Amino acid sequence: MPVDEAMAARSRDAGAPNLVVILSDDHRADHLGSTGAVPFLQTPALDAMAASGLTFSHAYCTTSLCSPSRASFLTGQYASRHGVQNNLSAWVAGTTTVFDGLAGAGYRCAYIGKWHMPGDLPDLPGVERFITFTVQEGQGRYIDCPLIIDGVETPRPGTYVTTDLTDYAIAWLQEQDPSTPFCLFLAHKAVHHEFVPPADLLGTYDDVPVTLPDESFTFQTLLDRNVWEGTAGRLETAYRRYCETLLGLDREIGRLVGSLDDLGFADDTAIFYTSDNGYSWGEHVLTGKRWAYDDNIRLPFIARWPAGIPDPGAVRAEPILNIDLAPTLLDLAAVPIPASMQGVSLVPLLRDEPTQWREEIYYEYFEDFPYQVPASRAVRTADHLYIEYDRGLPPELYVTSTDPDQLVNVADDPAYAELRAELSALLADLRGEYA
Amino acid sequence: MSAAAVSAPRSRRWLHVAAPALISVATYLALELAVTRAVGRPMDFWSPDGYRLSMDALVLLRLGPVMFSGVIVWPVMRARGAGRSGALVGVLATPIAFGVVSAIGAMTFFPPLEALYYGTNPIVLGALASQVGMSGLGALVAAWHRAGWRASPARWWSWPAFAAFVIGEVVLFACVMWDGGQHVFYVWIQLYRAIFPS
Repeated sequence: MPVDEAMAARSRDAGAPNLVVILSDDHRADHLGSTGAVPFLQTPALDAMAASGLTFSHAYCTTSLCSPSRASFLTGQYASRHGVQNNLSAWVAGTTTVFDGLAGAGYRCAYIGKWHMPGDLPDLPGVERFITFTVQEGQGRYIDCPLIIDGVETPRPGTYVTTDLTDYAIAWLQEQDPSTPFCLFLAHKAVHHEFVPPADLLGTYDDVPVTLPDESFTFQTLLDRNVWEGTAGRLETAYRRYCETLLGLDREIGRLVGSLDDLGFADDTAIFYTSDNGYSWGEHVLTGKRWAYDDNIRLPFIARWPAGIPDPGAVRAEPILNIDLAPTLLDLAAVPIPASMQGVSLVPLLRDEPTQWREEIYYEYFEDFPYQVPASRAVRTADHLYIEYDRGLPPELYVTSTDPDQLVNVADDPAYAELRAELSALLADLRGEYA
Repeated sequence: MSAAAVSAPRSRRWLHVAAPALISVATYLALELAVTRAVGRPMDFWSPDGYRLSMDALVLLRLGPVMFSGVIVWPVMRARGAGRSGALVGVLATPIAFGVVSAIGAMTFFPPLEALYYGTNPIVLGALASQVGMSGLGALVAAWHRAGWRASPARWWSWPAFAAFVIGEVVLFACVMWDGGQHVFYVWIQLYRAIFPS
């Protein structure tokens, strides 16, 4: 695809940085070495990114599920609007993505990695390199995962998918010309189940003591509520493999960031690391990601942008959303943000400029057969989480400031009746605004 | 002789023949109920380890009647005079109950027809297949026992029973264990999409 060189030069002159997004899968927010929440877990590359960049400690997804959240990252829209409401609903052909605007501004764009939306792979306007996979309903495989490289199915025997995708990403970066801004969107399969770490890391955490929530137990993976999550077997073993897979992902992130440094792009590139959703490892006796609890809806979110972030190592607590990424990328590229995008640019927060910010977030989840989670909507404020379900379950209300694990549902407590009514009304307002 | 006097022994005989299947179903239901009541309630146990140990035991024991009771139910029902079809119904009763309980549970989350389809999920299919396999194994072991443990295999070996064992366990493996069961799972999901296109 030819790049509009005049637009590229204009973007460069305007100081528009290169953009790199690294999106992982099912990486829960507290599983970073820098948080200290998991004593044995090491994520040196992500920790280094955080130390030289900015961490958002309260990042959330708008729907805690792979396909809807991925579509939200690309479109800046809630699932209600972009239409990918669960893992069975197809990407709507012609949907506008962030790449449309970036390509219009002269950016060269690549999408490498997990697409995972049902239906035919789309033509992504503005994307000159599209590498993905469709095996296993788009989930891909960790080992020997065949790739679709610009529409051509390509066997990849002897490869580990996280490394393979990183290799392709680095090769594409090496083709870039400093005079033309670029956007790389690298979406990993890791750390989704089947939790297969690289061969040399398998067993790294076999001997470390693992502490899982009190309500969890080893074979909770066989309960109906968890059995489709691909973790059947010992919970502790699956968890160790998850952490080892994350260790392998971190290593590849380090390699990618290192290559940006080696290629001389580092100062002029804004890098974002995040995940599509979180994951429960025994909280609420759940193994999975589809509920509105914090373990599921919170995301790791780290930005590194040496030229734009004034206070490296800072942590910001404003509630941000996956739908904020697309408008942020456009804002950085000095592209007007379309009114159809429901997210808000993070650039003022990155630059530490004064800004009015949202005080609560709206969350939605849609039925996704056969997973036993009802369609729901929720509102998360600084101190509360309120959830309403479409069927089967009563509303839930948690006082997160005193009950961070969201274990005590006070929805039926008369002392909270007024609060519940307020949050229910707020939820209805937000639904009207976003859904 | 009155009709009541005839029917009483007949019903007792039926109960005697069907008892292994009924015990299997009752055991499954009791374990299911116990799991449902205790899950997520460590405070109701004497210690956190006690909760974990108990829950793991309950969940694993639940697999016994659902997946494997056919190894006992088939030969005992046959020995008590059940025909092949009657014994097969007895063997499949527990996995069918498992499917029904799964479907009822799914009604909390899905519309009734979808919940009904949920009751045909690959784990239920695997359980049905496993019970057929276990019946074959049970028939072989029972025949061996009847012939005497030192008898020549020619006197007790049954190729149909062996085939039932192998086919049943292969189907169980495909449904539940082959790559974590995901191949059959995706076929089942594609069928779901075809049946419930919206």
